[in-house]
Amino acid sequence: MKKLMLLAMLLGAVVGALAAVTEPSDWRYPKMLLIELPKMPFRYFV
Amino acid sequence: MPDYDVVVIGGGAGGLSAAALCQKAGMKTLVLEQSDRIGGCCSTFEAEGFHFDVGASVVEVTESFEELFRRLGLSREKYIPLVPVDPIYDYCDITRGVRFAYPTDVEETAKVISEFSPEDGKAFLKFARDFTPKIKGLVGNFFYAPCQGFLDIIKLVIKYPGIMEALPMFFTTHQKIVRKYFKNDDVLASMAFQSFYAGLPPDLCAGLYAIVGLLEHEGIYYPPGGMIGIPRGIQRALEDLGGEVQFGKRVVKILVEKRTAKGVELWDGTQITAGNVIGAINAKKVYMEMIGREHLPWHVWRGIDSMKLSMPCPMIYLGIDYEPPLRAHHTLTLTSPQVMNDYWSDYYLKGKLYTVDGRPEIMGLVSWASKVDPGLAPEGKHVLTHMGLAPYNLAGDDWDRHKERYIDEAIATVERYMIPDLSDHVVYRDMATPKDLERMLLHPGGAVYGIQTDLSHMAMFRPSNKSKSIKNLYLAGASTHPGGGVCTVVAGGIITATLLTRDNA
Repeated sequence: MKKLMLLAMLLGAVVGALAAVTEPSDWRYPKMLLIELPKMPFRYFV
Repeated sequence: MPDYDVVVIGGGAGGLSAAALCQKAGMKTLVLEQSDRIGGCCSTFEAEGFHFDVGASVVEVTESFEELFRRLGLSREKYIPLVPVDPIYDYCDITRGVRFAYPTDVEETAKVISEFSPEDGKAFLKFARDFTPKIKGLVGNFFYAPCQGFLDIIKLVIKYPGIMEALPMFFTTHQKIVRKYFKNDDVLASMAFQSFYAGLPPDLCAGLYAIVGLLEHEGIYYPPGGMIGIPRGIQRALEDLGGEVQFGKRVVKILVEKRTAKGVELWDGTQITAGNVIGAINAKKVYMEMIGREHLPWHVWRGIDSMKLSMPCPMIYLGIDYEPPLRAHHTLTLTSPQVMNDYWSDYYLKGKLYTVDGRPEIMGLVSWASKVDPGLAPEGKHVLTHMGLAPYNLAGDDWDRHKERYIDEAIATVERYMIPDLSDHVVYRDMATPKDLERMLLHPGGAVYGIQTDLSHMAMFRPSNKSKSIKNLYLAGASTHPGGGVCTVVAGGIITATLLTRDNA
């Protein structure tokens, strides 16, 4: 569980940074990643 | 003693590559193919004297073939002869009188672009200068590196620090990269459609895919006799090394005991035991159907269940009685990035086919394989295939019912933009709908590119080449790292075999 939380935090930081540098016109990509973000820690173990 | 050291489920290019390398490493290897034809969607079938490619229509990044055959100690040229295809694409919209073809040579392509957009011609050269070193680094390293977890990524960065330069491409979009370089709408359209190779529109596709438009300028190739020449060549190499391929053997279950793969069970109940199993079919099918929930930890099940399939590519196969007025192996209509983005949200996700003013527009890639190899069709005749993009589930309709109408609509679209009198010359027509692709090739959702390829499904977030939950289980094919496409799955097969042989050394 600790690993999952660390992974989620790391991914959150990556997506946060991405959202910060993304122009508003390109919002769909970070939005998609944000939606996918909670699933990524699970995908990591497949 | 198990019957085999390695059993591979699926005779596609990825599974065959992994199998050949395992056999080369001295492991008794068997490939089980459910159909009577090798290659999966990189294959060719015959109908009324015409030979049609099932799905894949050319290969690029042939370095993975060279690498495979180098590792096998065999000659790639002997097993898989390839003919260069030049020009790469012809872009055509006769309604506007626009037509231009990109040759393989980068300088020549820049000249073609400069004829209607001098600014973009220069930009193309800059694009090539900026991205060619990144391509070399990515193809030479990322493609063959296992990406099982963070540690593998760190190892990759240590081995090839240059990959850090390519890192921002994962965090931006295809659209953003091409828009940075190109201004002309037609040039943009010609550089943006490659995002669909990842199963996504340009504004949702990772920037990494922007290099595909450039990668093709390294050369694209076709095997004489059809795309089946590629898997057949790898099959021959496997058999020459002592390996075995059996056809008509549909695996329904992977035998698992205490989270360890022990073999497979066929549809007729026959069990084949094996020290290792490679699932070279869609990873969702491997885990969710052949292994089952009872053998998987809940978080693994949740992970595989959350993975999205790539966009299905319906295929239309046309036999025609004359030489079509095309100029290249591949011809495309020009579709702006915005239209591609809107198609995704307003049509694809809603289960609808694209329309303009209520009229169906079945856009797609038209391949004219008999231009390279006239032997694919009876004398004086030719073969065309049309690869489109369409939803798996049609809103308010069914593919089996809609099939003939879809072919008519696609032919009408091709007539409008490329070949005005096409319908007068069609002597054979057939189609593989997404449902057909699922039935014939066992690709869930008809997704020939496997799992969708966005950042959240890439590298260590893609099903691992070595299973993290089932011992002695490995995966290959489009749904694993590095992803879909013929040469890419061959690279994936190399990774899988590397991990498997290392574990069994």
